[in-house]
Formats: sequence, C-alpha cells, structure tokens
Amino acid sequence: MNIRYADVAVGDRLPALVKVPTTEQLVRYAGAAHDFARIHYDHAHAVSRGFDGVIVHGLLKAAFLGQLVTTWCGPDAWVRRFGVQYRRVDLPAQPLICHGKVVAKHEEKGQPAVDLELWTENPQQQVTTKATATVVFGAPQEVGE
Amino acid sequence: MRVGESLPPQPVQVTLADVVRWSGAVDDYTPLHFDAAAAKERGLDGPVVNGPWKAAVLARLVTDWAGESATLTRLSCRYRHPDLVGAGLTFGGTVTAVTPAGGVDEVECELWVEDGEGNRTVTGGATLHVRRAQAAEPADPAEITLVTEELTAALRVGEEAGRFTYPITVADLDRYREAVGDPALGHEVAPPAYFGALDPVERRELQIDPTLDLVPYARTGGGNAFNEVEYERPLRAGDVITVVTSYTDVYERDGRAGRLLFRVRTNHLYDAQGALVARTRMGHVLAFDLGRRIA
Repeated sequence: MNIRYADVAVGDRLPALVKVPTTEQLVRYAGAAHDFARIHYDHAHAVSRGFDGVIVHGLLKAAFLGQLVTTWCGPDAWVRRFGVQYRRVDLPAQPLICHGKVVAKHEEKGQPAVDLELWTENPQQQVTTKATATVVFGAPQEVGE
Repeated sequence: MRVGESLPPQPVQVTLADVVRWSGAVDDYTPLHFDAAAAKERGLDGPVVNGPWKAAVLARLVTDWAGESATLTRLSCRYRHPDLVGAGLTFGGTVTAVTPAGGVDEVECELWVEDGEGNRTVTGGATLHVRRAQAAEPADPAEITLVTEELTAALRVGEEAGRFTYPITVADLDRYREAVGDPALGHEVAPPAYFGALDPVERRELQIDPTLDLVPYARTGGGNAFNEVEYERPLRAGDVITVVTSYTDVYERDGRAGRLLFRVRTNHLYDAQGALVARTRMGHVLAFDLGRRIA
C-alpha cells in the first residue's frame, strides 16, 4: 500500500497493529539483532531481577512501531527520524497494541514530510512505549559523491 | 568466595543438536563439527565439539555460580585435546585468588573441562569483579553524586569507545523481519528500527559494564531508556556499515526506583565510501539504592 502525501491530514490515525509477542519471538529477535541479554529469555534470571518473567526487548517494541509506520506509508516513503522512549516493561503472551497519529505536515530539505506520534499500549491501556517519527515522501537524496 | 573453593562441577553429555545449534548461532559451518565423514577424513572417530562452545559453557558455569553481584571481566581457554560429540564431559573450576580492589573483590578462577578418562581437554581461567554488599550507613542522598570524575574518565566520555563493521545482507534483514513479524520480506531497504541491531553495546562487542564497579551502591534495576536515530538515507542490504561509538553524556536524577544513572552513547554509522548514513543516540538507565553502600 502506498499512501499519497496529498491524502494525509493532521489528526489522521494509523491503522492499529496488534502484536502478541511470544517467548519464541523474543529468542528469534535476540538472534536477529544479536542482543542476548538474559532478561529476555532466561526466566529464572528475570525473576531474580524482580519481574514476573522474561520481558520484551525495548528495541523489539521499537521495531513493531517501525512496522506500523512502514506498513502505513509504503515503500515510496522513508523514515528519516525515529525516537523511542521506554516507559514500562511488557511481558510476552500479552497483546501489545501499536498506535500512531499524524501530528504535522512540513518540508524536510525540500521534500514533503510527515511527523508522527507513536505509542504502544498494554491490556491495562497503559502507554508502555512512546515514540516520534518523521517520514519523508519520495526517494532519499544520495549522500556523498 | 574463598581460595580453594570449587565451582559446582557440571556434567554435560554433548549432543549433535548442541553443536549444530552452535554452528548456526556463530555462523561457523566447518563440517568437522557435524559431519562424521569429514571427521573421519581428518583421522577422527567422529564429529568434534567446537572449542568456543566449551568456552561458552565454562563462562556460563562461572557466571551462574558467581551470581548477580559479579561481572566476568576475563576468560581464557586453551584447547588441549579434541572432544567427540557424544562424549560425557565435566566442566569445573576452582578459586585461586581473591584480591580486594576498590569497591570489588577481584576473584581469579582456574577452569577446566575433563573427559570420561579424567583428561583435562580444556584448561583456562577467569577473572570476576564481585561487588560486596554491606549494611546501610546513614547518608544524605542529596550529598551523594554517582557521576564522579573517575566514572566519567572510565567511560571516556567524548572519546571514541570503539568501531565495528557490520555488513548487511537481505538474509539479515529477513531474519529480523521474521523475528518482528513484518511480512515485507525480501525488501532491500532496512526497517527503521534496524539501527538497534547494529549497536556494539547491545551486541556485547563493546563491554562497558565493568566501569560500573566504580559506583559503590547496590544496583536495583535498569534497562534501555530511549533509542533515537536520524538517517541521511535508509540502511540497505549490500551496505557495509562501520559503527563508531562514543559515550556522549552521563547524568543522574532521582526516580521512583532510587537514584537513576543515565549513560548515553552516540553511534555514527558510515557506509563503505565513508559517507555518514545515520546517527543514533542510545540511552541506558540503571537504578541504585543509595541506602545500600557496598565496599
């Protein structure tokens, strides 16, 4: 799907993305991102750190929000800026709902751009991750020569 | 921990599944480790257990034994004899020295792997920094500063901490997308959060935790606080990215969980032509209990 810049309006909501991370997914992410912090796959270790069990990688939640954005904007736009703040931990086997909305339209180095606010929500409707992103429409300008 | 103390010996029956998992995890597909015919050509009676796998089991033996208050700072192994897959091995170790050093005890261990005949097929050593827990002493939290000149110097704030080169392939991106559950497989453009997979600290290639032994309070928690990226262009399959990491900020503030120590590192990501592709800021937070001073 490619959304057209002209069709984007401030206040638009992105179609929500629901993820239910599994422990297998955490292990797969650990392998794919080379992040082997034990808190994400070793139950006994997580309990010794005071959690109910292993916790979802912050950067995996960032990746979910990234998927929310790229699914919405399509391959003809690209993410120039992306910032994520981790507010609460999330546990696997619980729904994690990824939300987003358009907060501004502007130009970024002469190209049309959109600013987004993004967040993940747990089943208690608490915001567990807050993020912002700037999406640029059109091809990236090549750097260097 | 005292000199002469034994680490609990760990018997392991090595299976072919163990070495195949290891081959996949480290991307080392030398047939000697899983192909009986290849092993026979080399004059061995069967596939040979990977040396670094044995080192990894020894490291785990040490860290499980030492517990949360210890940081492994050195590990060395000498592979003396091959072990065949299927062998019953025993992993063990002994404490050889305990030396107080600043806020920690420096603990030296001798490590070994023994086969069924009692031959030591691996010998090695490890060093641990073990933080000491002590009774609380009254102190005014307002007068306590965690960010000392010593800590700032140990983190080498503002200086290059390391540089690492990571090639990006379509297979890397697809493995990542499969892990995330993103159906857009095969795309050459990397997902926006992929910068997180190119962080030398998350990948444990840049070790910085030993510097925290300089903080003389009990650590009660922590994790990533924030991640930010600004791209000049998207990362793509085919890129060979050199990541230059430096610590750019260390600060503290009081929070619900105690005194919070933030360490912010900045990565500059360059492509093979030396052009800047992205800048990232990675913020990590640790909580300390100022009522529990150690050492």
